[in-house]
Amino acid sequence: MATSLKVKIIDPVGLHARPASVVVQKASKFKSDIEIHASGKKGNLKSIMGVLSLAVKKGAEVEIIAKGPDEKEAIEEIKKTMKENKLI
Amino acid sequence: MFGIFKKSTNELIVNAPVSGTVKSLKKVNDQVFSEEMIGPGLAIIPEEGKVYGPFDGKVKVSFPTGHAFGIEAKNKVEILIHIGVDTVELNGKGFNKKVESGHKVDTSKELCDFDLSFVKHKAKASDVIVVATNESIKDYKLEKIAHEGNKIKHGQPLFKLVKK
Repeated sequence: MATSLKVKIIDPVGLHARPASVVVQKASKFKSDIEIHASGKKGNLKSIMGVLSLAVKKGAEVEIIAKGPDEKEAIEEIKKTMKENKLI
Repeated sequence: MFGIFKKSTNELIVNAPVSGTVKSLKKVNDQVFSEEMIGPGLAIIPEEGKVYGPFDGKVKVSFPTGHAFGIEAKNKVEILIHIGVDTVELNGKGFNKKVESGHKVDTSKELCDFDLSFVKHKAKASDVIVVATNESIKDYKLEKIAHEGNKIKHGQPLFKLVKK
């Protein structure tokens, strides 16, 4: 199983604290395990430190992978949140 | 002996990373912090531009711009220290970071020094925000030690996380 989303970060300062915390809050609402992969590293999308430690910059391509009962909904909602926060 | 061991895993004292005046997180001009989206904590209006470690721990995140650090304690509690509001926009100008991810820190170790008057004038605010991440404190309760309006020196207790 698993549903994934590949996106490019367009925010000039990359995936920084403000938008990252909104995405982490959204991801934390779902039962599925959600990971973010960037530059060969991976982090737990439900952990703000996990996301920030990846130091994702503008132009970086990231992949978000959700595994669990609500994975499809999780990916849809996360994609929406990232767009709303001008990350993608 | 066992009493001391128990205490250190059941309680973590987070010390002020900067000297200044304590401010409530609710009054910080950034929703992410005032609404505790990352987690609960306190802010400090700094009186000098030197930031130190909050306890014995390890640097998990060191922003390239030097304006924010994530420090992990031995009991896995994570603290985010964010210098200023919207300071990411300064793109590192005015900040001189001294640690990288993986470095060990304690209250005598400087994380960074920054140009206080530059940040005061160019950023939305110079507040140094100290928050514990929601996900790392699920089994803990935050208890404030210092309160709004208190003057505090770096290294002095700010708040503590107590196991539920």
